[in-house]
Amino acid sequence: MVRPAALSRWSSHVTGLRITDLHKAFGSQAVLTGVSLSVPEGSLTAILGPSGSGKTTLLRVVAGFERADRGTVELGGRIVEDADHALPPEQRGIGYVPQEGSLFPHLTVAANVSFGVQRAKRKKLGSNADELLEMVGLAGLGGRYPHQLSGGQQQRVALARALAIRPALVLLDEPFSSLDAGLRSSVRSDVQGVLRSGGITALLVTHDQDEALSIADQVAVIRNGIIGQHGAPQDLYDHPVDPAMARFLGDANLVTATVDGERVTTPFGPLALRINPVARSCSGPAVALVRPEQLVLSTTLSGSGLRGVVVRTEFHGHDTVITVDPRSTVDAAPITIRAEGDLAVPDGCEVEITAEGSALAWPARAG
Amino acid sequence: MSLAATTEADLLGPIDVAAPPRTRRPLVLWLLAILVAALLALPLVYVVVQAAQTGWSEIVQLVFRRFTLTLLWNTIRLSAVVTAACAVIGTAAAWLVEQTDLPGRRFWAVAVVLPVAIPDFVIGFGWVSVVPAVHGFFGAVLVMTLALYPLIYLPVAASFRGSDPGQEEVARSLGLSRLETFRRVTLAQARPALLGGCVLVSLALLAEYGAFEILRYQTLTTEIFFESQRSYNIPVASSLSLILVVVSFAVLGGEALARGKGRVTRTTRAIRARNVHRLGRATAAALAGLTALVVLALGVPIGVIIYWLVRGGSTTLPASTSLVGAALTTAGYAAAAGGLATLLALPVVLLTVRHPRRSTATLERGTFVIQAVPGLIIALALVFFSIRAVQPLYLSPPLLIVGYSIMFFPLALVAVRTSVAQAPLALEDVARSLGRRRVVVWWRIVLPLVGPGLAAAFCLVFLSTVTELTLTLVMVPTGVQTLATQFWAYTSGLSYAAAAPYAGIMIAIAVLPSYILGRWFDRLPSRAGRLT
Repeated sequence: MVRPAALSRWSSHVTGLRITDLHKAFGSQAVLTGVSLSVPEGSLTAILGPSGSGKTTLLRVVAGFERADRGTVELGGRIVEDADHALPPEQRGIGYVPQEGSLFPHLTVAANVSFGVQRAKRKKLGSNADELLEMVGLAGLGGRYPHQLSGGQQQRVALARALAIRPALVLLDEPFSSLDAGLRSSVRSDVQGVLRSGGITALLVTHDQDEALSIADQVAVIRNGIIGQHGAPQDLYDHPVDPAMARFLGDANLVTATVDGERVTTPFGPLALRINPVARSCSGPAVALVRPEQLVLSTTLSGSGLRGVVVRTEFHGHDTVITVDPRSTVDAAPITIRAEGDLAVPDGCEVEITAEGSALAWPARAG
Repeated sequence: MSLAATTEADLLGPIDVAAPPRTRRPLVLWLLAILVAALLALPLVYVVVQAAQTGWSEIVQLVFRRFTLTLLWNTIRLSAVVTAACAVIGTAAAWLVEQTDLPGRRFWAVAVVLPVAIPDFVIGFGWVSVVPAVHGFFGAVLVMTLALYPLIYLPVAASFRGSDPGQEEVARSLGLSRLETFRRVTLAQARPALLGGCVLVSLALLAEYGAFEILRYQTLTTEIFFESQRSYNIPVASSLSLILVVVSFAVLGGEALARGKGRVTRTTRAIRARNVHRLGRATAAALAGLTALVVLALGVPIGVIIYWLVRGGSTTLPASTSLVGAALTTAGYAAAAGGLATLLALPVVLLTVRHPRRSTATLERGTFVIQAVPGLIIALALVFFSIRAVQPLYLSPPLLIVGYSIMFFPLALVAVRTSVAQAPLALEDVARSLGRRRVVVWWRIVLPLVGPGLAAAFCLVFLSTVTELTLTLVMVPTGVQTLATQFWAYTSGLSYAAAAPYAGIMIAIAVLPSYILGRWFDRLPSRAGRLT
């Protein structure tokens, strides 16, 4: 569906975004309280945050729709926003793909795509609308009106329209959230393909950690108005900065443990301690993170793991998620286990849980 | 009477609050909107000033005269009976056209609405000039019901069209009978529209002058007109004005109370076919009823106009030059009023739609209150202020046009609001990020999307102005004739044949905008659906 050969023409040469100490408040309500972030040239960075965390506001400041109260935005080495001046959105050269696509309803698909390209330039470059539409897999639909397209098609037109101005940066504001689940993953991978093979710098905002981790080169988690953690998806998943971040980035079992040198003693048995470069090291009482896929369930009770009772089994096809109520006096929180394929353990069955791999640990809070 | 198919319920409907807040303070918009609000407040200021000048004790004395109470009773009992009759007829017609397998529903959908384009006083003239027995209370009930039921039909039919057919099915599956389902689900969904329509009917009745004068039925408005224009008894006129305004506001407030806190929404977005109830053996009765309605409301006035045109012959018909002159004057005033009212509505709408806050919503509600102020009071207020403050404007065309614009401001507000909602700010943001300057964005994105709605606002005010009589009679510049004033002059002299061509042209001019509007309102829901 995506034709990489046509793409290199659409990326411009000067790219890269740097945001420094950005502040923004609406009235008395502070939304951004010092966001700093840099997006490497040609990468796709996802900003992940719960709704109301200020991620859309950040995007709108970068696009130039809102002024920042403090801080700078630098695009391709040029400052586009600081305390003294702000470049208007039309002079920034930033492509913007809003949540609902926001296609111009009174213009055809082709006219939508070429809206940002001046007539003179259009002639010089040839009919770029057709080429862009082909690129996003919508060849031949240029004569249609937005309302004649499906939601996924509208989203792709919105992307083609943003790319038509050869932007230094593309901003995507929850571009897949209005699509239904089946369509979402296919549109998502198409968009990812277009951006990646074009070498286009892109910043994507989402509240869906699955989406952020699967699509982006870099993920920045925003919470309480600042970037809580920033890094490659796997890094973030394996080395969250604190327990709350661990839980936000995916299903997490946080259990009481003891750290002794390079070993962690968990209810599931002793595990190797994973070095966490972003948190301070600890020893003694700790909270350990064991992801559901690290856990193994067994119905033979050997006594080496944590015993519990199965309370719920969710079958997802590719894997099964089992919730177990632990027979423990220390931790009462249910344990989540993810196992590949179908695992037939009836509810109420007594089981024993052991763990594989290594565990991350943070010092236990006093009290 | 006006084509106010959309009521306050629609006007104050949900606006997009999900959009992130914006920091830029719209100072210029605020300033303009406040100026508009101040202009619209003039009539109420006038009523208060007049009452203060008259003095409280004198007002109390005048209000509790037997005559005043008779006028009040006349006004209220007529309003109650006509509103009830219109509610029944309008709802029944809407249900037949929108929810049943009635043969020829497309024809009926047009025919049933058309009386809205005929001024009330022309319908009154149509009846009186052939059936002199039509007068007094029952004459007024007959004529006003025929003239005003479309104000109920339009919103209720629109609400039936937009209702979720699934809800009726669910009600039946929960064990409700057909009749119970109609009462508790179908009608309940149409309730805000019905209430809004009833308010429009009541306010139109309170403000009506021409038809009641023809029918020789005395109400507060006819008496205010007489006292202020004929016998120049200002204390009486102002105390009656005070009562009239209080009653009108009571109607508006009563609707707010009756509407309550419940919200009528459909939870599903899925577009489903409309409900089609089978009429079966009742088809003949339904057809007979609608035919009778259309013959009485549309056939009689139009037939009478044609009858007088034919019977009058060339001797009694007015010179064609005076006809053309009056038509051109009327069209000119109406076009100016349409343009001005649309312009006045713009800042208020831009402020409320694009900066949704409690303060802006309050301002908008405030301006909407003008719909409860009868045209006669607006006219008296403008004449009053022009004599005291801006003498050169007294009885001048600009002042008349301002009068029309104030009177029909709510119509423009509703239409402009719908159209501005068609061009969300997100589109402008995107367009600017694509490298286009603000001016280009306005020209290529905002105007094409908002334009049709602005045209609709213009048409609504235009056609209402063409058929307006009361305010025109008070404010028309000396020596100037409009279609309505000429018609009025001839009917007052019982020269029915001479009056007929003016009525004919008035209706002809009003029908075209009505048709355009009908098409626009018809397309609106589907278009909005496509955009989301």
